[in-house]
Order: sequence, then C-alpha cells, then structure tokens
Amino acid sequence: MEDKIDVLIVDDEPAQREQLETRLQNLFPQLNITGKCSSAEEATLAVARTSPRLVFLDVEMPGMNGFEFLDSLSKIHFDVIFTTSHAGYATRAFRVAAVDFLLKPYPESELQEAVNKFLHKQLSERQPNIEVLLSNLRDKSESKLALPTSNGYIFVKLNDVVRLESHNTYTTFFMKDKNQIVVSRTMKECEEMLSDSGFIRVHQSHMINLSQVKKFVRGEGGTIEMDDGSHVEVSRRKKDEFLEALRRL
Amino acid sequence: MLLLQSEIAQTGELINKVSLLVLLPFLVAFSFIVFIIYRRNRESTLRRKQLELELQAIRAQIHPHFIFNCLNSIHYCIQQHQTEKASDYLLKFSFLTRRILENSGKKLITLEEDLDILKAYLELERLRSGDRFTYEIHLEENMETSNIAVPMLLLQPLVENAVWHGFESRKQDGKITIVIESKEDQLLMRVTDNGVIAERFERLQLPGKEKSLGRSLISQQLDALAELEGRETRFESRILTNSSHEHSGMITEITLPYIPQF
Repeated sequence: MEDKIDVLIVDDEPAQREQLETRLQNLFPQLNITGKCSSAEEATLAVARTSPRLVFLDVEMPGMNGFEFLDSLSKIHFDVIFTTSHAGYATRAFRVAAVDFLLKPYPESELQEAVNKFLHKQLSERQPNIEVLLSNLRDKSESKLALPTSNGYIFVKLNDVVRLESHNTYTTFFMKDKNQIVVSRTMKECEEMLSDSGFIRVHQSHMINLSQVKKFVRGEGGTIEMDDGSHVEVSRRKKDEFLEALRRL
Repeated sequence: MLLLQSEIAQTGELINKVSLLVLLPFLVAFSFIVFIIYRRNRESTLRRKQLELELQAIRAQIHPHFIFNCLNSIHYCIQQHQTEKASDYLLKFSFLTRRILENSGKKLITLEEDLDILKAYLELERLRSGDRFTYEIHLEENMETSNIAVPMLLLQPLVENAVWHGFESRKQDGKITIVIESKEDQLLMRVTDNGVIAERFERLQLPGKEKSLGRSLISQQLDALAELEGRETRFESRILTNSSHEHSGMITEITLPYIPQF
C-alpha cells in the first residue's frame, strides 16, 4: 500500500471527474486518487497539499485554464496527462511538443495507453516536453519542435527548419545548418502538426517553412528556391494556395 | 532657314497627327480587348468563388439530418438499456463528428479521408440496425487515395437510402458494395445494394427532384463540381432484377473528374 502512486484529477465537469476516477480505479489498482478538483484554483491548493506524481489536467476550464495553471506554478513536480475536447490549437501544440493528451470522449484503450506510458518513464524523461509546450505557448516566435529519436526526443527550433521531404512513412527535416533529421512520421502527420506554424505543404512530398522562401519561379506549378539554396517543386494544384499564404505572411 | 524649320515642324506635326489617326483605332481595339479579357477573368474568378461556396453549402445541408439520425439511434440504445452499445456508438459518433467538423471549411477532401469518414458512418449504421447488413469497399489496385480529391461524403446519401429504405425487410443479409476505380481522367464510383423495398423503386421512377433529398444533394454537388472543373459528371441509378425477373436491389454509378490533390 505504501508505494501507491498519488494522482490528482482536474476537470470542471463533474461527470468527467467521476468517470475518470472509476475507470482509473478499475484499470490501475496501483494508482491512488488523492483528489478531484473542479478548477485551477482548487488544483493549486491540492498540488501544494498532496504533491501528486500524476495530474490529469483539463485544458478548457472557466477562470484559469490548464496551461495558465501550470504556468502559475514555480516548479512542476509532477507528470501531466492533458485532457481536452477540442481538436484545435491545443492538440497541435501537444503534437509539436510530443506531450500526451486524451481527446474527450476517449475509449478505455487510449486511457490505458497513456497511463502505461507514464508508468514506464521517469518524470525527468517527460518533463522537458511539458516545459517546451509551455514555452511554445508563451512565445510562438521561439517555438520548438520535439522530434522522436531512438532514445527520446531532440528539440529543434521551428525557425531552424527549412523544409520537409517525405519518403513513404518517413519524413526528413532539412535544417538551416544543413543537418538532416529523419523521423518516422508521415507527411500527413507533420502537416496536421505544423499547418498553423508558418509551414505549408506545396507538393505531395514537400512541405516548406514560408519564412525561408527566397524566390518563386512560376511554371505549371512552379519552383521555390529556399534560403539554403535548395529547390522545391510546387504542384499545380497547390500554386494558388502557396502564393496566397506568401501574401498573407 | 526659319521658314524651313517651321515647315519641318509642320510636317512633323502632320506626321504625328496622321500616325495618331492611324493608331487610334488599333489603340481603341486593343483597350477593348484588354477590357474584355479583364472582365472575363474577373467573371470567371467570381463564378469560381461562387461555385466553391456552393459546394461547401450543399455539403453543409447533409449533416444535420445525418447527425440527428445518429443521435436518435444512440437515444434508442439508452432507452433499451444497452449501455455498452450506446457507449460504443457514441465514441464512433464523436470520431465521425470531429472529422466532419475538421473538414467543414474545405470544398474537397482526400479520398483517403473521405473513406475513413464513410466507414465510420457505415459502422454507425451497422450498430443501429443490429448488423442487418455488411459492406465491402473495393479500390482499384495501387490507387493513391491520399492524392485524389473528392467532395466530402458524396456517397453517404446512397448508403443511407439503402440502409433506411432498402434493408428494412432483411434479417442479416443486407449487403452494400462500393467500388471505386479510375478511368483515364475520371473517377468511377459504383454503389450496389440488395435492398428490395418496393417503395424505393417507385421513388426512382419519379421525375428529377422528387426522387429524394439525398439524390438531389448528390446532383447539386456534381453539377457544381462539373462547372468548377469544366468537366462532365454522371449520376445514374438502375433497379437490378434477378433471373426470375424480381427486383433484387439497386446499382448507382457516379462519374466525376479525377482531381489530384497535389
């Protein structure tokens, strides 16, 4: 009984709190739910009182939201699994920082997967991603991207990524310093993640950082010359969208 | 000398005048042509915008009745105390709604995405009808579904018609087969079902718009797409009969332009 893991649930909806508690009790007897909070204010007190090891944190709450709550703490001593019902800016932010989240409503299998990931990792391995998430939300211009490697993540500045090129299930990130990073993610996944971060997919296998376009040569589709001197083909169907995005920049 | 100069000046002026007179008609004709081209361009841009909006708007009509059908079915499960089923239903419905909302700003989506959404819809209908039917989707070999653009849920009204009006009398053996293949610059979609309710066959004989809301939605989408792409589309349904000349189901063929996403 001594080594049970203390867990805090933070969600403004009573039904969500109850459901999550019941599911966790059924699935993970090693977890000990020490509290259920309906607001960030309550959570601030609960965290100070019980020092949980894991917090399930709802993003959208009246008053202080989940992100603001974390920002208000001087140090985060716990792991976080975010919950949200909107697939929007928050889920893109989670993906960019490779932070775990549950999109409500979710099946039990997804909850199981998320908790298992938490159980098999040290806090020190997961904390940097949460810190990157919070700093990305504070200052978008300095955003960092978490790229999965064989033993964890490396963090690169979005501004340092020139372009992406896909090869089936892999995507290569071409960096400003001429480095290339190969990631086992599809172009579609990268597109979903980066579409509102100044990147645009201009071809079936190419995505570019709009801020690093040097010039554009019109053709049936056209060719972009990037700041690093590389050339990227634009497909005919994407030309207008690309030019429009460039104008809005 | 002075006289000569002024003469030269006069001649110069004359040449200027003459050349102006000669050039004027060309200049007028040229400006006119430029104006016509400009106007035509502007008109076609405006028409394009309008058609794109139409495509979006038509699609938006599909969703309300479709969403409430699902909610109705979930409500039914809850009333029947089928908790597990209601929960399964609701998660699938949530997946489907999210996908539809995420794509609602687009006039076309990839065939890959569209088939995901259509499958989710079919699964929902299977749940609702107590597995009264099965479905199969056959794609042409090596079809690059992530690089083909289609209007979202174009086939949904056809599937819905089969499920709600075709399979009522069937116990378990309802069947929907969807075949998608490309032919030169066209995309062919064929939906076959073995639903045999007489009423739907009678409806199919009715003139144009009276057939059904679903069918007119498909026609409208196809018409807008045809004009937008400057290509032809086709939409035809036939009643199938078996060897003993009884109605045995329905087949619908849709032809639309093959539009690469990239």
